[in-house]
Amino acid sequence: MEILDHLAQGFGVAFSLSNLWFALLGCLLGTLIGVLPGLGPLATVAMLLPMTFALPPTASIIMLAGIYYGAQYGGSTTAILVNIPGESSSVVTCLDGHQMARRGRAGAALATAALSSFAAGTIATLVIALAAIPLSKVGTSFESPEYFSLMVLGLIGAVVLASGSLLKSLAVVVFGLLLGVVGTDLYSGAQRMTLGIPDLADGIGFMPVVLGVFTLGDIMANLSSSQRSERSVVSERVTGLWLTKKEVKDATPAALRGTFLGSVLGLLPGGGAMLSSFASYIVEKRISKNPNQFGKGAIQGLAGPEAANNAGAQTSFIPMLTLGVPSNAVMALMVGALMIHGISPGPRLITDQPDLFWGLIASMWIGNAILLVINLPLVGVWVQLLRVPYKLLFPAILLFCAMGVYSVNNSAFEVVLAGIFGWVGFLFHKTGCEAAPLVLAVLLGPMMEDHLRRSMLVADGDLMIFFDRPISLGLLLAAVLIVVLLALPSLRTTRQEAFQE
Amino acid sequence: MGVHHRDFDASDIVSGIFFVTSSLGGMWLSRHLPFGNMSDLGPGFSPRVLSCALLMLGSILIWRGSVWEGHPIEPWTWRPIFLIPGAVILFGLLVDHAGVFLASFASVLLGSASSSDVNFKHAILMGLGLATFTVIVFVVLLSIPMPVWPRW
Repeated sequence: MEILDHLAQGFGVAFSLSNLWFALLGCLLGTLIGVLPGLGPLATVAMLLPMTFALPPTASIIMLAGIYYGAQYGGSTTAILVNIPGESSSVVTCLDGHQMARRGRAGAALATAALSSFAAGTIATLVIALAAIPLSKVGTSFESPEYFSLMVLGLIGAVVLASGSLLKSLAVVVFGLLLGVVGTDLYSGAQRMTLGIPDLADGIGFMPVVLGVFTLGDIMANLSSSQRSERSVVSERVTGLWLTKKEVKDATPAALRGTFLGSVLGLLPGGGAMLSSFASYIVEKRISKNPNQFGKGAIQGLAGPEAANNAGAQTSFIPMLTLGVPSNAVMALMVGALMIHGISPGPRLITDQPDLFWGLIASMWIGNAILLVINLPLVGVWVQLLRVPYKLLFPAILLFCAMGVYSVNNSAFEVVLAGIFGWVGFLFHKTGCEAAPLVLAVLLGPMMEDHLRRSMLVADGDLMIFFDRPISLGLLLAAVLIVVLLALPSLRTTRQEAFQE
Repeated sequence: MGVHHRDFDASDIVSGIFFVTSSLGGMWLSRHLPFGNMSDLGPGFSPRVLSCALLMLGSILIWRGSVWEGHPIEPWTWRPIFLIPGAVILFGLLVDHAGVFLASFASVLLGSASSSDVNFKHAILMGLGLATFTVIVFVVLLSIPMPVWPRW
């Protein structure tokens, strides 16, 4: 089978000593930063992104992928041990995972999370390998109208799946699109909204925006909040990593269901880890024979979402790798990283850069294996890390943001921009505006405008081009469908329930 | 906790004002750009369409916030609001002239002042430690060319 050849090629690339090393480094750094409360996968990837620029593209993206799952795993560890979610997808882990820890089964909880994630990761890697070639083939028939419609779908998906008020998320997206306009217009050479500042001629980079809004905004929110959160770290030594037979029997079907759910939901625009873990929790609770165990340490409530979370995170790479369109904020960062290396992800990536493509896929599985192996023994280290008081951490995070932004282009201006966006981030945080769609919008904005203009040129001004072409029409209908589904009362309450928990 | 009988939702109104202001800024800054026509969209098309959309959304938010009661904005302290972005901006202002080490040190000092838990001695130690650490990581380990010391 052709796939086996490709996978073999991929493993060949991924098993090279340097790529293995970078996968390991990525997993370690990702987990390390991901364990810190308040720094979720998105902020972690954003902070560590600049470090990968010095590397060759394949190593860089392998390391980034490792950072991503490492951060997810770190977030789960914190959620289980300390009951503080690293970010949205760990919220669900807090629910039953921490309760298990409280009942003295911390080791089992961690082991469950690790094993479910590993199983999910293995299956998801296969899914990606199988889906890659057909999707890329479909992608090669994509032209500007299809790309535009796909990006519209992606943004609508991100708005719908963001927590909080839809109206606010929509406004955030439009704001992000407007930010993307700043710079030199490629078609006419005109300077747009640059205030005459030469540094803005290339536009507002996504790094200052992401690090400013997320990381700085988060630090400001933490420091200025009048509540001092008490961290009840589960302090007895975490022993007993072995699961009882009953636990394995209960957890396995949940993990498998979670994997399936996550693999599908990860493909959706706007989807990925968070949606998958919520959906899995709801499903497990609904089909469980003792639903009142949930919230008190039901192992299905941990295994399912953890598996879904990991599967979703991996399959969310698919639209990015095969079509070049990121489906969520983290993928947007990956696209940004690839573009800085001079690679534009798209349907031709699989044929132009097979080493990178298949090497990344193989490395995903390796990353999962690495995480499984290193994290359980290293739990003690992570627990110590959680004890570091915030007053020591935040200056370090602050400096890393500043240095990170600076190191991209040696641009002091961008550092200042990041500071300014810190205020925007704080405002969003205080007013309940979800910031993740902003990242997607800033990245997709310029691309969308380009495709819109080209489509209009080709169609000579006829807007029907988006509806005449079947794939484009399908994508736009899907966007409408998502909005309609959301408006249905039953789904709306489910969504609110999920966010409330 | 009693029921808040407020007539407005502060978070809607504040965010609405932010978006409206941004949209007006966008419109103003793009006022000279040609709009183009449907078959040849000009540079002014996107900024104006997006600004209009943002204006509408922001206005709806302000309206919505004024008519229903909602959640008040949680109170906050001002020091971190100024000092955290301030520390980052300070880094940006210093780095090209004073080099990465001094900029890092100054930045950490200013930033750590935003927490009342940090005393001055700790801040100095942290500043030195972190400045050294970041120089090692970025300049030495990652070989990213950047000025470490002031240029004279």
